[in-house]
Amino acid sequence: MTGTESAEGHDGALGAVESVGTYVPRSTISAETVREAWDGFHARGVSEKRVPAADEDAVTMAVAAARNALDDSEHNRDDVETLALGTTTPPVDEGDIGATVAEVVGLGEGTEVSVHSQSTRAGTRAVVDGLRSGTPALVVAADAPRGSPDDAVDHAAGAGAVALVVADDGDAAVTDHATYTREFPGTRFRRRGNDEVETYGATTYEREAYTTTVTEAVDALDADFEALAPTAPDGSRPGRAGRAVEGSEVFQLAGELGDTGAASPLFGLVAAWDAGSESVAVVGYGDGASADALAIRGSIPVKTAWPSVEITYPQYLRQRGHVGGED
Amino acid sequence: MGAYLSVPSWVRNLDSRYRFVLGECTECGGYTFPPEGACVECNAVGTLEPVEPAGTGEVVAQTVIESGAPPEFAALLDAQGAIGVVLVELDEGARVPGMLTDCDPREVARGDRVESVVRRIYEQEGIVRYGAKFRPEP
Repeated sequence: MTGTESAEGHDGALGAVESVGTYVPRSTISAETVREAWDGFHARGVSEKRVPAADEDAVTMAVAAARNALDDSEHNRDDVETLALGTTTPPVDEGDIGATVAEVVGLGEGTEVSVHSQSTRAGTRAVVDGLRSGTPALVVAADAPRGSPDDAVDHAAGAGAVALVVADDGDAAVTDHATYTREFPGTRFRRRGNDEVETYGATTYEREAYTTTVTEAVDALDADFEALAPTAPDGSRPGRAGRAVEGSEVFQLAGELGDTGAASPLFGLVAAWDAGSESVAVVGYGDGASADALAIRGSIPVKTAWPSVEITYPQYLRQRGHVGGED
Repeated sequence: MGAYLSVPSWVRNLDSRYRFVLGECTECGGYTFPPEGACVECNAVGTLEPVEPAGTGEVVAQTVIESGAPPEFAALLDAQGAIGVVLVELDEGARVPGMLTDCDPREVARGDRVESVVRRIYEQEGIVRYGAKFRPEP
């Protein structure tokens, strides 16, 4: 271990993050390119975002991140007892994509596999699941949301995945977990059989749902922290949680990766670690609304730079299946 | 015209589709892909033990499909403009076929180093078929 503290040093720790792997598609589109196409750009705080290749989806990104996490882990894939996957964009409405991820990675057939979905909180749900299940657990959050091409959701929509190996010991201890749920319908949803995420569109209401839920979950944590890593639907909303939670610096990568949905609070965690934070509150927020807050002490060195290739707006439309792609 | 492969046939060798699992010959140490039948090096039968390669290797042959792809690849061709197909000699020695991704396939040549990644191959009858492809090594 290289950190200053390990999970053993924290009485009552729920477990620890032992290794991290990230994956980000290489295609990048700038806010400026989208602005030229639509004569406007509606995603606040996003300067550029990542776009999945035509052959990528939540499953392939989850696999790539999971392999990277296992490469950096003391554990090998045969040790993994649990796979917990979180995504709002499973490639099928019904069908166990967890089994596919497990098979591709080559996990043992006795691995307990679960998939969390239907809310951008799915990523932190997967972390909580991993902590509560047999360890070592492989936890993966992967997302590539889409909206209607002319709206703020699609302008923000990015892509990426973060995987954690969660174990009894590790350099980043999870010291507490708290949750908050209260009904705020319609802040972000996708109709059955539809690929496009929608919001009701009442900005003040959506901000209230986000701020209330995130703040209440964080306040229920029995921990001090210097950094806050909340779900980031764009580059601006996380700042609202920061204003509601005094004295903490807010970290998010939506400004450069776009909205990574269920993976976004874990990208925030990675950004906080990259900046040297040793105590982070990770908050997964999702429509409904509900939030999980996790207090994490310690850190794991991670890189937050990924290979990038600029694409045009027509390429974007083709790659995301907004045009073409019908058999 | 497509080359239809049923799901029951497809799942029979997932290890090779996802991770290029090879057969290592217990007689001569040579590698055979797919890991079935006789050893391609010494023709011994029943001597292949499955082993997982690193997934890295060198392009030994390549081609680019710009039109007329089988129907299951039509959507990918629409989205990507061209599909690169390569034969790769893995560092372990076996030669395996694969599609290219994350690159302009016209810029990949014999001798280039590549690494494997798992991507969507195609979707048919509502079922997504995943499998290993190659991309240029960083």
